[in-house]
Parts: sequence; C-alpha cells; structure tokens
Amino acid sequence: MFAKVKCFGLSGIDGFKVMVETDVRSGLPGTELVGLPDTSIKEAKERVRSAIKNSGFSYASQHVTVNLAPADTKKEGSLFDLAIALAILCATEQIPLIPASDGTVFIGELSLDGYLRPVRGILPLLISAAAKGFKRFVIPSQNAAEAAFIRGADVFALDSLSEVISFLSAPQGYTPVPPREFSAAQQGRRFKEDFMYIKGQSFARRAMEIAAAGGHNILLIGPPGSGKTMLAKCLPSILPDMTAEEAMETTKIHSVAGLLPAGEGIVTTRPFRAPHHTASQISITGGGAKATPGEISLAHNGVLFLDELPEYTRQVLEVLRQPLENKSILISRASRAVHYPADFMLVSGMNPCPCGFQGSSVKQCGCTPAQINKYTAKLSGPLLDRIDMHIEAENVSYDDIKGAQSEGSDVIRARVNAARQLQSVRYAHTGITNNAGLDSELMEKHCALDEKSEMLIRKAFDKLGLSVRAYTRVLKVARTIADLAASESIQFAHVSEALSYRCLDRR
Amino acid sequence: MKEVSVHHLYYWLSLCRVSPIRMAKLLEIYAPHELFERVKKDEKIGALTGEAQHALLKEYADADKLYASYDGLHKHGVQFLAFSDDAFPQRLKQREVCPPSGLYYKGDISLLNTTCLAIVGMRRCSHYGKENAFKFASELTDYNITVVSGLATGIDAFAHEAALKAGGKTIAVLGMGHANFYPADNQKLYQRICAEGLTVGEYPPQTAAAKYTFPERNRIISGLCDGVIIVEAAVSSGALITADRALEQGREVFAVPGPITSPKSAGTNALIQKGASLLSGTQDIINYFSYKNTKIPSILPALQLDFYEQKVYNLLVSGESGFDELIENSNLTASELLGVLTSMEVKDAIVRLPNNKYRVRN
Repeated sequence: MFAKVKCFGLSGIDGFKVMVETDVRSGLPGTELVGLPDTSIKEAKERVRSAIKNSGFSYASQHVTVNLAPADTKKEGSLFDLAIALAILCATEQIPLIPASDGTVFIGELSLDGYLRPVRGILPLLISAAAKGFKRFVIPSQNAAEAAFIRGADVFALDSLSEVISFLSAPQGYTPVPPREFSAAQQGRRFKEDFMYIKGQSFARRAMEIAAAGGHNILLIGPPGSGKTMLAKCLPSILPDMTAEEAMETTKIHSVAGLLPAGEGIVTTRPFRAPHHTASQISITGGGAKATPGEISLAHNGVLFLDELPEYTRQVLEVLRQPLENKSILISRASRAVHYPADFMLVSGMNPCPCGFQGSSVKQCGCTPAQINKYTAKLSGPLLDRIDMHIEAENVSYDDIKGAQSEGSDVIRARVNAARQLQSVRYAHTGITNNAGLDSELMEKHCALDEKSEMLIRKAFDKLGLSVRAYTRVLKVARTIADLAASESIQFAHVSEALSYRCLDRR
Repeated sequence: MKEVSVHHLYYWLSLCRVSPIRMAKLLEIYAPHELFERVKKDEKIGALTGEAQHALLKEYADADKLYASYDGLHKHGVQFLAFSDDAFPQRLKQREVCPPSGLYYKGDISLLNTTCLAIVGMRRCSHYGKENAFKFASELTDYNITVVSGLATGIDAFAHEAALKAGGKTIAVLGMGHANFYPADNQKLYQRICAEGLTVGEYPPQTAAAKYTFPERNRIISGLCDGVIIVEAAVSSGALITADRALEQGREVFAVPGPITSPKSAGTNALIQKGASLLSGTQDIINYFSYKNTKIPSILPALQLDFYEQKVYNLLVSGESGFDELIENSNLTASELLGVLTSMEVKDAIVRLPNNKYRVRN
C-alpha cells in the first residue's frame, strides 16, 4: 500500500517542501530510504522502527520503500523522522490514511521510545511553509516557544508519536500554540557588563556611543590593560533595541545553527559574537558539509567582536571585506549555494605594536619600526576602508578608578535608541537602517555640509594628514553625531568631533 | 698605453676596500700614480695592504679595464667625485676626517659645499625624538642650512623628511653602495632625496651594508658639517659614534636633553654631562654659528580662538594633559571637548600626542 505525508526540509534559512512517500510491498523484509538523504536521515530507519514498536504498533515485516521527494535535492537533519513514521503506519494500514487534501505539515525527530525531540530551524521552516500557503503544523512540544511567533497558522506542539496519532483521529481535543507578540527584552534588563563600571575613558565611551547609535564599525587601539575588551563587552548594553523584523531574521539564523536559548524561542537581544583569533575562515564565513552559518551571520543585526585583530590570519580578515560591503554572504558549494544575511557591526581591538607599549607612559616600547610595520600591515587598506572609526584607548590612572560614578548604560541606551529612531524614520523605504549603511547617493541628500564645516574638513585633510577615503567615513560619523544631538542638519561642531575618530589616518 | 687621469686614479683607489686610516697612511708614502705603477708591476707596497686588497687593486691596475669599470657606473645612475676634484669639499679633506678617495653620488653635488648641519639619532626613537627631529630639521631650513643625516630608520629618516617637507635641502650619507640600498623601508625617501637633494657615499655601487660600514660612514656625516645635533640616543646608540667623530674633527656637538627616566635619552644626557652643548631650541645653534635667516619672515596670524577654545588653551598652557583630565577641568562634555580640540588642532594651536594627550604648539 502507498501513503504520503508532508514535511519541510531546510536549505540555509529557507525551507522547501518535502513529500515523504512510502510504499509497502511483499518481498524480503527491509527498509529502503531514497531521495538523497544524508547520514542522519539514513539512520532515521532505526529510530523510526524502535519508535513505532515502543508506541504500541508493529513495524512492517514486508519490504518498505521511503522516498523523500523531490528526489534530486539533498536533504539533511533529523526533522523527517515523524513524517516517515506516520507514512509507514499509514502504508501498513495501522492508522487511517491522511487525505492528500489535508495540508498539515509534520516535523519532528523521534527518540527510540516514541517521544518527539526538538529540531533545529523550526522558525525558518514554518515561515517558509506559511509563505507557501501551509497553515497547519505539527511540531515537537519543545519547539513551541519558537513557533509561537508565527502568525496566521495553527501550530500544534505535541509530545510523542502516539499523541500525534490520537491528534490525527480527534484533532478537536487539541488547541494550537497561543501566538506571542515580540517585545524587545532590552528594557529594564540588567547587563553584567555595564558602562557604569568603566571609569575614566570619556573619549572611548563617547566613541562607543556613536558607534552603537550609527552602527559604525570601530577599531580600538591601545596598550594592554587599557580596557579595549572591557569597552567592547559593554557594547551590547547600549545597543539599540531590536525591531520585530530584526529579531525574526536573527532568530532564523540562530535557529538553523541550533543556538536558540532554551525556552526563549526568539532572539530578543542583539547577538554579540567574539570568536577567538584562531578561528578558521569557514567558521567565520559559514560553510562546511552542511553549509552552516558562520560567525558573521550569527552576528547578524548584532556585533562581531574581533579582539587582537592583527593576530587573525590574513585570509580570515580578507574574507570579511565582501560581507561588510554586501551585508550578506553567498556560500557556494558544489552541491548547492546557500544565502545567509550578515549585517553586523564590526568591533575590533588591537595593540599599537607587537609588544603593545608604543606611546605608553607606563612602559618603554622595544619594537623596531620594521616589526611595527609588519604588524600593522596585516590590516589591508581595503579592510581599514570599511572601518568608520578608529580610536585610541588610554591607560586608566588610579585617580580615574577612584573617581565619581560613571554614567550607566541605561542612560546611554536611551540616547542611542532615540538616534536610531530618527534614522529609521529618515531611511524608511531606502533599504538601509542606519547611518553606517549610507551610500553616496543618500549621503548627498542627508549629509550636506555648510560652508564653514566644508572648510574645516578641507583644512583638516591638510593639517592632520587625513586620507581621501576618510572623507565619507567622517561624514557618516558626523551624521550620527548630529542624530544624537537631534539635529536636522550636520553642524560645524558635529564635523569637528567626527574628525577626532580617525587616529590611524594621522600616522 | 694611455695615461690614467688623477680622477680615475682616485676611482681606482676607492674600489679597494682598505680601511680609511690605512688608506691615509698609504697615501702619505706613495702618490696615487706611484701606487698604480707599483701595483701594475706587481711590486711590493710594504705590509700596508692585505693579500685580498692587493689582488683587488691588481685586477683594475689596467687602464682599459679601469675605464670600462668607470663607465659602468652610469648603469646605476651613479656619478663619481674624486678627492682631487675641485668640487670635493675642503672640510672633508681634513686629516682628522680620514678623507675618502672619492664619493659616489646621485643628485645635486653642489650641496656638499653649502652650510651643513647633521641631525642624527637612534632608530627606535620615541615620539619625543621624532617630534624634535622634525622641529629642528624644518626650522633649520629657514636659515638655508642643508640637513645631513644617515637615512637610517627613526630620527635620521624624520630629519630628511622634515627638511624636504619644509622645502629645504638635505644630504643622505649612505653606509652602503647605491645599488644595495638598506633599509628597504626608506627606499621611497631615498629616491626622493636622490631627486630633490643628494645621496652620497664612499662605497662602490655594489657594496653591501656591513657592520663596519655605518661607523665608517659616520665620519663623513660629521666631516661635512659645522656641527652635529644628537636628537635622541641610548647609551649604546650609533649616533654617539658620530658625536665622537665630530669631536675628533673639531665640530660642535649639540645634544637634546631628555627625561632622566627615559633610556632613549640616556646617551644624549651623558653627552651633555661630558660637555656637549645643551640644545633647547633652534636659536641656540643659530646664535652659536651666527647664521642668518634667509627666509622672508612670514607674519604669523594671531591665534583666533573662540571662548571654549581659549578656555581649553589656558588649561593646556601649563603643560600637556590627558583627555579625561581636560574634561574634568573644563566642564565640557566629551562630545563638546572633542569638537573644540579638533578645531584647535586644525588652527595649529595644539598638538595631539599618542595616548589621547594634548599640548599647546610652541
């Protein structure tokens, strides 16, 4: 006998429909799984067999063929288990056939005792399926929190194979997962790392505020102990609240990577990813056998923090260039190409020289000019081109530590949020969300300078030795400073402040 | 058989790497053409030259071969100035200098006979040293003084750079042949000096830099100049050799003092202790030598500072200050202060130092 059950497979962060077809015929007992399954699907045979047996049914002592259609697309993951089990039970006439008109999609991994285990990527799967017109889903109950953010669909979160079977016979006894509304969890949240605990460093604090408000990439340069890492770690506490769309996008990626915090269901705070400098190229960009998302995609709508920037391998640094420009990455492999968004803010730290003490008042630097050149040459021009702000973090003195209480992150975040609000209104329908994303056309429109400011920039280029590429960077940062001051146009003071965040250009 | 000119005889001598002191002794006994004839006939020249050097001299002790080698110089774009030539600077002919047989050069040779001052110092210099090298080199150009240095990294390179930037003249004395320039970092600067100033050295183009060539070269740096300025030197710095040579040659030595806590100023401080002139500003040198300012004095526009700029300026007048300190004393926000500081920097009122420190420009 023949039966089919609907399921969905995952490719990148997009789902595609998979029809699980099963045919049971007389012959040598055995199960065959076709349709380009990967190893985890091939092993489904054994899980399904035990799950069926332990749910009180019998496994066919006939020849079973399971086909995952379309047969020419590679499939991976354990999420087909439930659909395969149901298809086999239907085909062996142990449960009634699911009619072809029934649009229910079944997703879930089975444990040997018949319970449903959570799977990765539920949110992107359901979003794709809903977009293709599917309105009814059966998923593992542990994925319920994540699925609650789907609108316009009935999602049933069930515990076991036998529960699914009783649901099929009497669906009226079950209620779908109640939908939840997204709310930015940032409000009132306490952060372990808060700007309140950073003493002194007024320059760097202000720079971090601007970077957060405009989404600018920033490079912190300073001797060891100057608090570069601490500053970066405090950054999440002042990042603007996520919008619902941003949260969805980020959750999709984290869901695919299996990184969603248990019970939360959705990413509510901007991600902060800090891979160590031994990270491989693939781990940064994404890829591998399963084309999983890399650090740059996991940091989507959040921060990618690279401490000790010149210590990363040259390849790793260079692969960042294109995603920084395109805000997404296409991972192309022989069998397929997967597209992941990668709109992140790059925050990085480095020492001024290999020993770290150049220009320090604490310790003499013993590096030769050649060593310093070699060290800084690791950061190629094109990469530095994409970093809007570079600042020096200074050593903090004892007096600073004992000084008055610093401004807390809550206060700063309120200002950042206000500035972002202005930007999102201004850039509605332009495809960008913040000042860092400004292109030359939009810049002409929104970053006009008065004569006095234009003059200042001109003089600064001569006097401070700023490079030409610094020009657009300075304008973007000036725009953010103006936004923080709630000013419609860019004023003289905004430009002159923006000019102070280009310390690498001065060398 | 053609007669070898005196110019070419000195070229011949310069090909042989005999130490300057030995060469001086050799020339006290024999005139160049006598030497040439003796080597040609394979006669003994006393115990003054070693086997290898003798062999080298012997190889080119043939007029045709010598002339061919001389003509080969143009391949490297290098010219040769012999000891006997009129343009060879008198002050380099002093006995104490141990004059070279000749100089290989690229650029404007007339600079050798202008008023020269050397600015030298250590390679791994501090920001303080860099700043002073720039200051002295650019200020001296106002008095039409040619800045001489060794085109090493650090102080030397900054001195050359500053002189060129200020539109002045500069001479780089090389410690290697022109075709083997070292260090590679300064290649661009080297080419610029070849075009806008003068690069000169006693070594044939193919000679590679060696441990002994730099100290040897230092005697030419001091020899060319009225005086030597040591900007920054540790106790073991090569710049101190230049100071020693300068004293032997009767040139004035100026040393820039530094903090007693900085090992990078220990050498210059020690020089001052031993009697070198303490250099606290360009005027010290000008007064010492009574140089004349040749530049038409430009009337500096008075600093035009607004209220906040003046306020911050007043805070900085008493000495350099960090950013946090300024915030505390000025009652400005970080944002306002940054704007004010940049604007003042552009007006040339203050300088930004490493580590977010600021100081008024003097």
